[in-house]
Amino acid sequence: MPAVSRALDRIAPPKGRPVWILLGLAVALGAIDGGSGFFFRLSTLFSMTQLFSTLGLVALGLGFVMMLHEYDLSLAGSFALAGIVGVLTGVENPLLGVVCGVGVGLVAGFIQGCIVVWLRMSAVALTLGGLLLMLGITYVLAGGTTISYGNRAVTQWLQETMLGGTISYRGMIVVAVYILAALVFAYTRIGRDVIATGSNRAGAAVAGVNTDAILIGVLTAAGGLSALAGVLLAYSLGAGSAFGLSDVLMGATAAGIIGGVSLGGGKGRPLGVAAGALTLCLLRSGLSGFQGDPMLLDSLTGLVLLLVAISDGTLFRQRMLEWRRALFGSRPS
Amino acid sequence: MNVPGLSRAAFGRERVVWSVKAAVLAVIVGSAILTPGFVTPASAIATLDHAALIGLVALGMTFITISGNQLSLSLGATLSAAALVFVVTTGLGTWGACAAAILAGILLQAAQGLVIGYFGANPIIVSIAGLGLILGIGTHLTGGGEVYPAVADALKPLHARIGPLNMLIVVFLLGVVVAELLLSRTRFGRQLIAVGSSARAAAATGIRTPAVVTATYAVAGLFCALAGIIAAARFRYASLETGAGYDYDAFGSVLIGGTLLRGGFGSAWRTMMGALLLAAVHTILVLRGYSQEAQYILLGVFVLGAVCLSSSEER
Amino acid sequence: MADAPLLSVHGVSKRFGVVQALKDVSISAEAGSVLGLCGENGAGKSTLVKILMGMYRPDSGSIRLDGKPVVIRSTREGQGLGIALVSQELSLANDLSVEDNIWLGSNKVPLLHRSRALRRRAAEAVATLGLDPAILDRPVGTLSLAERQLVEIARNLCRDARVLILDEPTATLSDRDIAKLFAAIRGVAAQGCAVVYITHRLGEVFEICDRVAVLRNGRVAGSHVVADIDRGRLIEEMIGRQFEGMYPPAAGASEAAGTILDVRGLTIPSVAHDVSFAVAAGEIVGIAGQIGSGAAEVVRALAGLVPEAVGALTWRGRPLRIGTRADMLKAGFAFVSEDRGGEGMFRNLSIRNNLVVTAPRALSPLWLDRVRALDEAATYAAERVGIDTGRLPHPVSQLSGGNQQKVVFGRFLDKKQIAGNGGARRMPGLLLMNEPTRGVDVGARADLYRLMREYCRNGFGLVVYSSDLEELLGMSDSVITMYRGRVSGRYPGGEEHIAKVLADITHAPQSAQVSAPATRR
Repeated sequence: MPAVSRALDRIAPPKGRPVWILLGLAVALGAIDGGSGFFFRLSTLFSMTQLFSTLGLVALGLGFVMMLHEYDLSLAGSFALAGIVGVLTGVENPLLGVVCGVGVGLVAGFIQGCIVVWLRMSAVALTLGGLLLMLGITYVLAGGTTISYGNRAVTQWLQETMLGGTISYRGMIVVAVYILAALVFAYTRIGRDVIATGSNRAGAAVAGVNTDAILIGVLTAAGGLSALAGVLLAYSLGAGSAFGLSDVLMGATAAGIIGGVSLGGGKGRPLGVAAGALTLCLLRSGLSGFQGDPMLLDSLTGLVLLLVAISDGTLFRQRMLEWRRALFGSRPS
Repeated sequence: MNVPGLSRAAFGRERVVWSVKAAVLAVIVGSAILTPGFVTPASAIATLDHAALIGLVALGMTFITISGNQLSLSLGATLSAAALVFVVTTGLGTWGACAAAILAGILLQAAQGLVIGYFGANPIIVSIAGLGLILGIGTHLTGGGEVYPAVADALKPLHARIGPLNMLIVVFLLGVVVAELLLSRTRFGRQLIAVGSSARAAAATGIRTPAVVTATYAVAGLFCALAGIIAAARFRYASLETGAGYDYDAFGSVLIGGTLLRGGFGSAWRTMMGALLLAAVHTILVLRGYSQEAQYILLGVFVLGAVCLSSSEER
Repeated sequence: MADAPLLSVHGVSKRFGVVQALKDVSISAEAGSVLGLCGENGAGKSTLVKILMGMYRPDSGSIRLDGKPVVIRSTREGQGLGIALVSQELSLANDLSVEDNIWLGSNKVPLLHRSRALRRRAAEAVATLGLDPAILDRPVGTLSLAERQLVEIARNLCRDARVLILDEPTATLSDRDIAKLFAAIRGVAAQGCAVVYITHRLGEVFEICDRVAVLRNGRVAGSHVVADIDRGRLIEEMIGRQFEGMYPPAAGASEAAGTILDVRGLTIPSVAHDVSFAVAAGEIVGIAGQIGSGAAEVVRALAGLVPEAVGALTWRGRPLRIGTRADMLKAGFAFVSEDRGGEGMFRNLSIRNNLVVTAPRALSPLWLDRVRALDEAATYAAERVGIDTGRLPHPVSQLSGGNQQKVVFGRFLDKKQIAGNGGARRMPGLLLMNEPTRGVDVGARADLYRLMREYCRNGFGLVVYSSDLEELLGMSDSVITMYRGRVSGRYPGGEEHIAKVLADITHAPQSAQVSAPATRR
């Protein structure tokens, strides 16, 4: 159906590069595994989806921000703070906790977005301040330790698996959010305006898009998505704390970059970010499936990021041209 | 064409920002004076000390920011790596180990600078990649724990003092002077500022941008290495956690000092003032008996506000 | 048909400070027809367009739509009234489809799913322009430049544009694309729009326009039905007055005559083919050509800013490879960019630092700068180009356009070089300039021309590209003309040849449409 394929254009990356990377990685890991059974175990798949449940939403939010040519350092703060808030407010009524936690993220993103637009600042600088502030508040609320979450039932529910043990309920929630985001992106004006603002901000403004509103909206959404991820993680662990954050930001960035979001803005789509996030999680779970050093994951991630950053570089084409000329000599046309 | 109305509006906003800055400064100075124990040598040293380690990293960050490359998230990791190298090579003697650590810091950052300058790759992403590589390979090599110096005596010279000032403060102050000299009195500095001011104009005037950017990051690596050496000497061990978290504080110091994120403007003095201001606020809070948690929040608010004020001339 | 014209401008004047950009301009565009708007750079075309779009308000005069006066206070209002502009910078999002781009930012589009009716309208607009409706789903990034232009026009059609202004639309198009564009324009006109077609290319005026208005120095020099005039008359009206003698004469038989630069077969893929010329010491070689002719790119290629360029250079008797900008600078090639703001100036830096940015290594041995030596060099340069040395510490952005350009020129003045201090060890070089007096007022222009001659006297060779023909012919010792990437003619400098030069740069050589040279008034 033409309408569906059109919508697909808006949620899936143009040449499907991230999906090929994902498939390629899966094949490579499978080949290395060589049938010894490590890789294709159910537990590997499950740990991949578990990682995805933590990383996926932050990656999605950050992906949207990067689509606009900006970067948001405060997402790690929203993640942590929302977790604590959710744990503190959601003991009797978990939904209330979710609302409060996500609300914190939304508010943080909204305020930062407004300041960025009003003062015409770069989001990087402002979100640094936002990050520190939110981490500070987290520290205050948590008193420097972890706070345990009293509602065992919710914790257990989130950890239950479905679909033959491949994914937890928490994971399904994340998938549902992704689907929702993809639908919004594909079928509403918002998605088109975001892509346009990222692709050519001045041109989009000339065409009539309210680029300020888009920027504020994206920062707000990114805060909310990270917050949701933080709350879900805190609930499923049964505790909230402020540790292990730089991992999240780094992983989310890598997921977005692999998923085709270049900091050049405009490219990248929700499904692409999903594929990028899955790739990262597959890497990690696959590597821990072998006796391999789990810390090598950081190196591999770094390497992949480096290669993608180079190929996205502004001078890349020029350098390739220079190398080709140096090797093969120039040919007048 | 000039549209008079527009510049009048900008001027109005400038006035507001300036008066808010002045007010904030007055409040800080006021509470500093009124805080018991602040205006004493002991607390001055403590403040300087707090500022110095962050300040060294911030000096490195300053070079990167002025060159138009915004920030690096791998400076803290570089600090840790240099600290580890220092501790592991103490067998070469104090200065041999220092040289090794400095070399390590320079190489780790210069490699990133080369990629950024030569390919035009995004500096933030490359720094994240660098962070991952340093942490990953580092963990693999060290097993993730603490590493103790092979020859503990090698640390002794670094515990020396000059009058009331410990080695850290001395190195920091010297570092500020050297950094300022580099920026304002050398060809490299002039070209760095030019590249930050307008990368296109720099290319059009024949500046070799890849070389300048690589050198910029090399200098940043040098400062991180200095910080790493001192940290290792102070704590008497090194690990990958040694430098964790410094990136944000350093970046904050740079921005608070008034160096612009878009590049082409800034100085080492400014960064020093930014680091000192942050440290001063921290000292005030401590002396006034605020709890750890309250300190966190208030500092966070301060950084947020200061960054807004300093960066409002960005676009 | 005695209806009021769709768009008419009556007695509009506009002044910016001392510059009278428009004086008493009256033109009209009828529905269903194409009005050509011609004029050299600085004639007032872009000011007029900006007034029509609502970016400026006229000092006097009125604008009327369908005979009724309108006041346009902002671009949004202008668009709302149906006045649309398609400029060189397209405002399309490359990552969205054609249909998405057409409806981007329009308030007719609801939040949720777009209606079929909107898609139908988009398809109709696209078909009017001669495009296959299947193009609606393709990402704009995959389209050719010509197709993108048509998409931008389609967007304006769907916003109920009634007056469509096209600003130099064919500058970067091939012949086949131009034919498609013209068919599209005819389609648009047939729908009842008025099209205003701004161009330098006189041949196109005769192909696509029904009427033409010529602007010169802010006034309407002539307004005709195209069928009633010929090319020669157009050229005459565009050029108009005499030269003012503001161009200092060449040094005559220069002391160090002899070729210092020989360019053979310079080629930039898709832009310029097989360009060859020679520059003698003390000579100013001008390159004439319109936007898209490849002239500016040739100059940039010599400066080392076009990596894809290939060609054989002989510099001071030795072969030279076209390298990077740094390489060419080392060889002695100085470059003044056409984009002063983006490539010429370091906006927030001081005048002094802008001047010394290309200072030779000798002034910074080892590490530290010899600050006093640098300051002296800056002071010297400022004095030579005529900038108040007291302002050296101030940011260069505070200077006027003319003075900024002087700073750029001042970069290459080296005491040892110019004054010939005791056996100048630095050999004179080559000064490459693109649009050196763009945005510079008349007084400063004279200073710049004098500076150029001073460089010549010191043995420099100069290569200049300028779209201001009068200026180019006035200051050059010899001129080569380019059209669509190839050298089409060579002339000595001076005003006598201006008509031939203009003819050369506006159509293909040996075209059947070349008319007899214009007679002088």
